[in-house]
Amino acid sequence: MRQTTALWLASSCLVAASLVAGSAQAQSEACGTTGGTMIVAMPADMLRTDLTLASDTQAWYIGGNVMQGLMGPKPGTLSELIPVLAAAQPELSDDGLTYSFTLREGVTFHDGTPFDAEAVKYNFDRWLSLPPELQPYAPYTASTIGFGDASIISEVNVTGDHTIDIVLKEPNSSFLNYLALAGFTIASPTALKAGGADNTVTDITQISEAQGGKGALIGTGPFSFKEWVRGDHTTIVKNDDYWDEAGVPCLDQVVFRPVSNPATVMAGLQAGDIDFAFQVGPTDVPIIKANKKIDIVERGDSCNMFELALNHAHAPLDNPDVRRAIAYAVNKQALVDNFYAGYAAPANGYLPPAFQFAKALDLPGYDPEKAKEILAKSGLTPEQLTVDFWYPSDVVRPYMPDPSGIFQSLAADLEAVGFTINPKSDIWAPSYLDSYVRGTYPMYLMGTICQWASADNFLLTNFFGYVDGEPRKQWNYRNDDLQTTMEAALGAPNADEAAKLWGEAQDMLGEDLPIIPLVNAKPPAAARSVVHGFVSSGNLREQMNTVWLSQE
Amino acid sequence: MPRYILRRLLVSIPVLFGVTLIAFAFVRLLPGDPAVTILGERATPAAIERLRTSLGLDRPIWQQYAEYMSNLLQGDLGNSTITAAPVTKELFSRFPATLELSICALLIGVTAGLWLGRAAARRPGGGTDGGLTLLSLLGISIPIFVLGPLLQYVFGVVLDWLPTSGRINPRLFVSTPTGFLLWDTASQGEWGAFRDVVAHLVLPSVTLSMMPMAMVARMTRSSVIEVQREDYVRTARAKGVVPPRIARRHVMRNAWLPVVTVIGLQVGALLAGTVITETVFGWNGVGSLVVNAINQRDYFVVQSAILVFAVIFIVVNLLVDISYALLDPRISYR
Repeated sequence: MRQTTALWLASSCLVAASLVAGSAQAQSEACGTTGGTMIVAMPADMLRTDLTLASDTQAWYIGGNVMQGLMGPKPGTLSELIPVLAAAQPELSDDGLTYSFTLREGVTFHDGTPFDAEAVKYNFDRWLSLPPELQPYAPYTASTIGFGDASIISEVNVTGDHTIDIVLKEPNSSFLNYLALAGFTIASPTALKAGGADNTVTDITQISEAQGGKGALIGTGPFSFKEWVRGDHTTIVKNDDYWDEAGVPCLDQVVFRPVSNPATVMAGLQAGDIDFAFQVGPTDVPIIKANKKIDIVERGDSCNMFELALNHAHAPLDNPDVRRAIAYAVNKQALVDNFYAGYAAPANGYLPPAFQFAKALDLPGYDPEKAKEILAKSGLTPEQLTVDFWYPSDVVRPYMPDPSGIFQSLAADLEAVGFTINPKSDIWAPSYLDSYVRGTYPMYLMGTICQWASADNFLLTNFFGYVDGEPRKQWNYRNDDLQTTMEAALGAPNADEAAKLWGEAQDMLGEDLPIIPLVNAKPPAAARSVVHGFVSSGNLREQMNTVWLSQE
Repeated sequence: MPRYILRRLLVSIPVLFGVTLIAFAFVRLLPGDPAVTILGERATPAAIERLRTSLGLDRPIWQQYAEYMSNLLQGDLGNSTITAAPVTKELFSRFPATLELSICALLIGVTAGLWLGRAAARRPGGGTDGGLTLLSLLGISIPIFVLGPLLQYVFGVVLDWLPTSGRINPRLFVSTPTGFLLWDTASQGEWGAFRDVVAHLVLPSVTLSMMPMAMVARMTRSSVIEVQREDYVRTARAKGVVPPRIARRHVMRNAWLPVVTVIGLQVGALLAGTVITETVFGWNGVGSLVVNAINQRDYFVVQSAILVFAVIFIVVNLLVDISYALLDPRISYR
């Protein structure tokens, strides 16, 4: 017993000594102070500690500070990609198939395993040959690089200690966007093997690496993973040996607490129990602005879209004139002013404006007279202009702060030009989502949050790409030309060609108005005024290493 | 007595069986299923079907129940559909939080309730009685979701005396092997952390204790008043027994029985109260776990939590019945 105590004392002294040494040698110059712990309130707990087998916001947000990919979004930007574990942007072969990466040297994982081409290949092999039992837990892998024979990758070749080639089956203009996702961050092969995440274990409950146990979250980032106490908190600690000396964190630790009740978050911010709130609602904005000790943290460019969704299987929404009339009838600016506390902008295209390949379309603006005119010309009777309009009754989404209020505003706009609206509502999860997916609703409120900020993520993956050769039931929007153009744009050999084709696709949408884009929301975060140096980003890929805390 | 306990335990088996059946059916009667919840806005019908199959939700419901029961009898509560972790792990990691909160709330509620009830009964119809009756009426009628945020705002935000949420200041980094933070901090001699844990406990346990306090106070008051009118109390007073002794030996001894029944029943109300209290105070116990699980249609977590609550309720009721015999020699069980 005494021996263990002595050992413990000795080792803790060593740890303390190395901490002091570490902070003395390498520290970002931008830190106003060093040390301290920041408490972050998240809306929910992480699901798992494996960023491939968990794609919830929390896991990717927390894990994104610990794990790094070959590429990543530049902090503070939406769609600009920078090499992270790659030493430079990869070279692309002329046929658009082979990406040659040169890797950063002198990087080690948090467990001491060296980072090299073999480690990268090990991770790719794991993603591509994920056992079928585990594939449902990796929906982003499925919708991006794919598994096994269905994968877009044909081979991954190690060409040197720190060089690797990734060969695609067909050109893909969004491939680097995929690689920049948190789901494709490189984990220590040693840790993956030790934690049962080497594809030998098919029962996810037995993979300790994914359940917060052995091997969990061993990456190369500025913070390392310390612990996950299920339902209570997750702690990450400063990595003194971080490969980028200028990026060594100012803080010693960051603790993420799941706090689901927004009122509890607000009380915590005001009382100082919570330093940073991942998300605050528009109704809390005036309280925060009135409080000198708390600041709103704006997130810059929007990475979402809130839309008035229309299902073309239900008349009269299959009629382009009716859709155009709806587009003229809705007052988007009123929504922005009344429901978003200003943290939104009226949508003027089918992509958030800062997306890669986004094109402003000059969509119809608020003009009720014009809407009436179009409807009068269409010759439709009042019975034919009667629509069931659905909204969720019990939910707040980042793009939709007040569904019933927004519904009332839009319904009034539509009735003013001659529609008859049957108000319908249901609970969000799962009935609303279920009916939406099955295409039961004619007209309804829905939104989309980006996974990566490029055209294909919204237009192809989330909106109008055919599934199994058929239009999605949510909209039943059939446009074969659009489908061909979008596929060509994704397969474009270079960015210029892709930009041209995505532009054409967006023009088609602007012409057809399959759904009505309403607003691009910019849901803010909030922080106590002692928090400094935070670089926010609409895609939520935020890094905590630049954050420091001042004295109160 | 042992035969009585055995009989009661045997009777509780069909009750628990019924609870599993009702809980199983109840969560599945809610519209939709976890597959939709997991996939969210990005779902496609094909993806939902795939996920349903891999979660085993496409099989006949009786087959699912049979499998659940056969696993249950082997002590396996199944896996959470959302987090894919064993339910036993989820429950046991959060159970200490709920137990610590409930015990504190019950202690506060019963102590205060007894004291208030006896104070009110001293002079029925007097000013103290009126005031305390009003107080207990408030305690019964103010819902937790009003009282909780009110206390949080006044004592946490405005006065800044007490923390607003959580169980311990995360900056303290105390190891918590048992999950009972009072015990964990005290046994390590971390007295600063212990004080912090107590401070975190005050608001939620006071909030949660209001209901039992009010119920116990009311029952104590009426029970004591009733016993005070009995002949033997008058006799005791006539023969000159000192009032404190009358209150202790003659009145309370006989007034206990209905009060204990109320305390037993309050455990049920307390368990229900933890669900809201934990949500308000960011207290990560079984209550907040159940709220999330119901929202996400996490079938196995909901089923298991209901089962655990049922077991607690049955055990507490048994203890209450046994205590009758100990408190009142006239009652005996065969």
